[in-house]
Amino acid sequence: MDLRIEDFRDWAPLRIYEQSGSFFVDWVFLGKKRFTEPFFEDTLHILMRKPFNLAFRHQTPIEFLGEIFNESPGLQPKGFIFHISRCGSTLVSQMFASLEKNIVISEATVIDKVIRAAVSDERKKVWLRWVVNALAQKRFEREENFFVKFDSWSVLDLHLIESAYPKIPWIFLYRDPVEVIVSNLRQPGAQMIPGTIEKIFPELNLFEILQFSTEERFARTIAAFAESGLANKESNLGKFINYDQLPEIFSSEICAHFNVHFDEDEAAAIGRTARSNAKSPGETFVPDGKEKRKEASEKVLSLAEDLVLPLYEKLENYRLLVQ
Amino acid sequence: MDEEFEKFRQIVFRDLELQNTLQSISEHDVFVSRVIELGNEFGLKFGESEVLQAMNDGRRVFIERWI
Repeated sequence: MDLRIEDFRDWAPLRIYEQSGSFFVDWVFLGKKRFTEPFFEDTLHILMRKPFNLAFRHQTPIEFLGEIFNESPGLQPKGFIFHISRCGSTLVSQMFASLEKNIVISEATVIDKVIRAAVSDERKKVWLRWVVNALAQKRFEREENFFVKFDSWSVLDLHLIESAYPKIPWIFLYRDPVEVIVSNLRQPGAQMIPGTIEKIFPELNLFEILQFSTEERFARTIAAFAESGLANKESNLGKFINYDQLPEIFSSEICAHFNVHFDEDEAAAIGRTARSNAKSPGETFVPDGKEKRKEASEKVLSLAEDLVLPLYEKLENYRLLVQ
Repeated sequence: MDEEFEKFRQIVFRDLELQNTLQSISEHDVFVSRVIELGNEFGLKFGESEVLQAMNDGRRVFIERWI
């Protein structure tokens, strides 16, 4: 049966996969669901609880995303969010997602799949624009802004993403390295699973990676992200944001950098979101930086100081210099 | 996949109203019965096992999206 773009209006890419040398997309029916959960995956989980979404999913060649890109341009991204993990990026994305006029795609597996696909950089850039466009389709009248928060490790491909989107502003969020390491020790993110993200330790095989203690591996991972952010500091599209500045500078710095403006009522709604725990909406946010630093072992303190702090200081110096 | 059930899937993919109706059902057994019933209305014969198989495939695909 011929594929018709109009039949995909309320559908989103669920997964991208390779089969016999070709790439395909599975689609999930969104119905009236907006992407309001802290992560794209959370929204998918809600959708996949519905029997309809289990039994009925479109399957298309990846090239169909290209047809949609050509025939049905979605909203242009207003801004991209990069980060070192556990540093307020979900707070920022949730603040945007609190308004119905904003579509926020947060750490989507389908985007990551394209960025890390075993294809040429040129192919990746084309596919990235295709899949982002499919997620940026305007489904509700009020939607007018579109934002993407990437996975923490995507900062390692920031240059590639920027060259696919040479006009889209981005922010890079970072935080006191001790707090980030402790947060990851409490509950490790996917980036901390040894060997999952090849680009973190490009020179090492899995056996060599496993020679590091957990604390050292985490510190080196965060250092790799911070270094990659720093390597892009000359870009006139980028802006560095420290976790400690949040949420106060949301409007004055982040929205201004993304060239989006919200009225008084909208700002109030965003403010309410800022007061709740971004990863567990409904719970009040309690600052825990002090507690995390107290929890840090000597080993964590020393690794953070040796491996990450010099980069953190460079990020801080640069941020303060251009502020 | 069963030919008749596949035909029904293609009908659903072209009909937003059917998609919304079926997506609104959260109980699995009610969903399966409704799909079979709707299939019958289109003259398509398939049973519970075809629908359950499709749901199992969906579960597998969802898990495999990380691979």
